Amino acid sequence: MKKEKNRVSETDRLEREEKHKNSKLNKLLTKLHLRGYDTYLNAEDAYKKRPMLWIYDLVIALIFVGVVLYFALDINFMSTVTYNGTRLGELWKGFINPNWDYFFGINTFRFSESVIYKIIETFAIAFIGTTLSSLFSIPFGFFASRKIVGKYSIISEFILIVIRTFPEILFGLILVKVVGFGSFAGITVLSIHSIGMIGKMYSEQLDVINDQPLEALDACGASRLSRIKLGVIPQVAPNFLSVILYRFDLNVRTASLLGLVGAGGIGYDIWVNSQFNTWSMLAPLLYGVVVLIILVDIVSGLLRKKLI
Amino acid sequence: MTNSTFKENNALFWHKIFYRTVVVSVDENNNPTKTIEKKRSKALLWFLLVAVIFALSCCFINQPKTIRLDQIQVIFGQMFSPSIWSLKTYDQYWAYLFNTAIPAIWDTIEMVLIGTTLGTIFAFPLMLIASSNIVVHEYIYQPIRFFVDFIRTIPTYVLAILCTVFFGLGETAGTWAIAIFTLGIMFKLMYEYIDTCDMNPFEASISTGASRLKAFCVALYPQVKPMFFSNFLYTFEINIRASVILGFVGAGGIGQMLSNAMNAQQYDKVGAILIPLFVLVVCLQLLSGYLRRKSL
Repeated sequence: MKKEKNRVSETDRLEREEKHKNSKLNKLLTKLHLRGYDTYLNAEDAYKKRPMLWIYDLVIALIFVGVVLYFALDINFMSTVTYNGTRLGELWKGFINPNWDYFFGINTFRFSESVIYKIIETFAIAFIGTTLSSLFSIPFGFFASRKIVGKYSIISEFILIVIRTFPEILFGLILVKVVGFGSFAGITVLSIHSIGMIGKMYSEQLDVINDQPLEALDACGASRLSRIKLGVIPQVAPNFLSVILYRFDLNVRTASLLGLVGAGGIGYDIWVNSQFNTWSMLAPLLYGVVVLIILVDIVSGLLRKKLI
Repeated sequence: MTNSTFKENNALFWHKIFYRTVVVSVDENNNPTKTIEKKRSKALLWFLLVAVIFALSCCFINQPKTIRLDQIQVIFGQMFSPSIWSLKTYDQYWAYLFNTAIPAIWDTIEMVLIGTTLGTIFAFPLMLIASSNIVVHEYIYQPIRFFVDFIRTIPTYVLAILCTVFFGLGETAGTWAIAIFTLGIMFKLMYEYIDTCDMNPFEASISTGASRLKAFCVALYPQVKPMFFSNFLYTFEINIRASVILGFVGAGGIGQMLSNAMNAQQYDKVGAILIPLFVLVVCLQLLSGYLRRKSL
């Protein structure tokens, strides 16, 4: 008797389904893409009943805007702004009339304190730092590659992450205490700090090398050294070089930054002149930095195009 | 020896430097029957160039007077344990970490988030105009690319110095510096990605009569969106690392605290600031790396 009571007739079931389909909750869920689509025969129908996915974007955007506005209130954004016309006027005057004597090191300025000398010094720091770090990071890169070392590569990977995350300017502060002020500190900072990124890129390149040349050399009976010489190096050398060039780009910027803490390069003069508001001295320094970075960018871009 | 033969010999000498002869086939007595000339690899030349530049660069480097390697041990030894000079006990060390360092880093996060958002908002219209498949006219997108590339070459600390002139010392200047810095990175990453997008849906919706903006919303926006978010996070991570620099020129952030602690030789304070920074940056790196791998 009970079974017959619970049994639902076919028409009843269809009716209930129809009712469920047309219920408000179900319509809303379909609109919000939380429930699957029905099948529509007609394209116009399907278009009319398409889910409103933009609602999610809108909600996320609103939350994000709220968070940003709250943060802006929290740090008193734009509270320190004071309009100082004369100061900006002096800045503008300094930038359109830069001190070219200081730039070229003529008349009252010696060459060793001119901007050109500082630019060359910055370039030298970046060049030596990149060259040394590209050599230092070869073992790190090999030991961080999963294809060569296996699961123990995680040790070297961890070392590389630590080196990469350590702020370079703090590294500069520490090494200035160790080796003293001057460009030698800059070289040491760059050659240690660049290992983090170059080593990681090396290991990524080593992970994707093709096995087939190695197998072929194995079949010929090649020794381990000649396998590396003929199988690995020709595959990775252009990529390694392009990684080094890319890092050289970044290192020129870092070398110009390290002067802020007294590790050589152009940064120290930029800092001093910005503190004493001598804009006509600051302007040639900034022009020099920008020209140096653009030149290095262009040359390394050309070389990288030639490599690949 | 006449002058002309000397010239010929000279030319032969340079020819021999740049080319080498390779034996292709030999007869039965091992005498070469056919040889060809091949260009030598220029690797040695490049190596010499690098060596010369390296040597010239060394002229501009000063010689260190004294190298005090014991300082490394002193600094790193005092970093992660309280020293008697500043934070005397572990209680004070942890109190400093949680009450001073983490709020400072939280301020930095707020600053960087506002800066990154502002920069992204500025970059969004620019990267649409600068992508060569949406705007097909070269005279429109090339100048914009050139302009933003120029902004990108200015180092962050220079931007921060200029912003402190305009906005006064404090976090506002740092925020604007980060915004301009973000504009460059985000612009470059995104227009290069939009350039490689699949343009067939875009053209299809144009051909049904949609406007270019509508076609972008329907056809390109779903392709661009995941990459946009992962690039946003990537830029955010870069900016967190760059924000350490801002404090050194007085533009807010934790840089000021770090340099003060270093100059006062309170290395344990430096360590207490570094630990949460490390955790933050490593988490962001893992997250942004995961998102980039997923969206590529």
